Amino acid sequence: MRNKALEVTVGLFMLAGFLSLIVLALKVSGLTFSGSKDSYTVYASFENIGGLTERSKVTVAGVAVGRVVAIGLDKDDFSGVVEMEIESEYDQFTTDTSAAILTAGLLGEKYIGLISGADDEFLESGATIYDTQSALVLEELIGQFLFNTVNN
Amino acid sequence: MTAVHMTKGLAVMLMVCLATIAQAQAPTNDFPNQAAYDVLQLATDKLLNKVVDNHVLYVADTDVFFSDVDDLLSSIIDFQRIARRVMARHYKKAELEQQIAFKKAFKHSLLNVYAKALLDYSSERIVILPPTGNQKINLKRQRVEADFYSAAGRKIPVTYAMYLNKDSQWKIENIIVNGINIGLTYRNQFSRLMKANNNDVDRVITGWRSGLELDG
Repeated sequence: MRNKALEVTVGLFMLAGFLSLIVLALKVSGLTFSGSKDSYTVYASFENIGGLTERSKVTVAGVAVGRVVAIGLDKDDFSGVVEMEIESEYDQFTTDTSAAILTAGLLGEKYIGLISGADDEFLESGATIYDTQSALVLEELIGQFLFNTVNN
Repeated sequence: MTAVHMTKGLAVMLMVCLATIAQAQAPTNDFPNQAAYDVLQLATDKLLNKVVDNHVLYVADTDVFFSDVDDLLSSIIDFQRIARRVMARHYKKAELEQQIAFKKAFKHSLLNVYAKALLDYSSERIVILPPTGNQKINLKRQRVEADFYSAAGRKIPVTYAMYLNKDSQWKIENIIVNGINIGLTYRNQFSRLMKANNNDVDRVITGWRSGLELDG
């Protein structure tokens, strides 16, 4: 005799399983359902953005404070322009803040690390960070290493 | 990045100011960083001439070398600004004497490395690249590129980050050697030292001075 209650329970479990799979997939890919907090926009240009992508993290001391929302190319000086959004509660970044493209782990994903400076004024929405550190490209490092080895 | 690498990078960077090839005069155009380029080229030529003229004296007496070169370098490098940026958020918390002391220690350690660079890299060459127009229009900040050629023939790209100060003078506020932001590297170093010394600025300043002298 088929037990309806049992079937419904199994169905619920299946549903729960699928939902957790979806939540896991979303977490891994970086999309979140967290309600969009108030944020402001900051720009930074780099010689080489490496593997930075949209939705890459923006961190301070390792703590996520924002996300990269757009990556473009500056046609004047051929540098990569990164547009990032920083949550409004973190509004104490001085105008000489540094932005560096860092790697999570040895060969992990790229993210932006901000380090505050010593100026008196703070970054406002639409401001540009001028003190930047581009991504260190593995091939360039290897090339330099090989060049040095050959020459020594 | 170890202090050795940093000082070597710094020596390279400072050698950029030491040896230069006379560039064919760039045509006066309205390139965005023409003014900054002119200032840098002039200062570099002056420095090179001075060093070449007094080479024997400077090798013999580093104190004279320091004081002579100090004035020239201070006219083109804004040490105060760089030292302040290296201290970053610790700057405001420090006493005025500490701020001054760090600026002195920072400048002294740079000059110290410079003296060694002078002795070691006497055959290096640097080419300050004339403006090409690949710059953004920015009234206060510009970048000037240079190529540094080591004895082994290796080309090291150096970028000077220059800014226009309140007295309308172009000064160097940062240097990027081989893609490495030297000012940022020092900022990280200072931050690390602060953590290691329980945020004691005086101990960090003492350690800074001795550390760079030992490694150089």
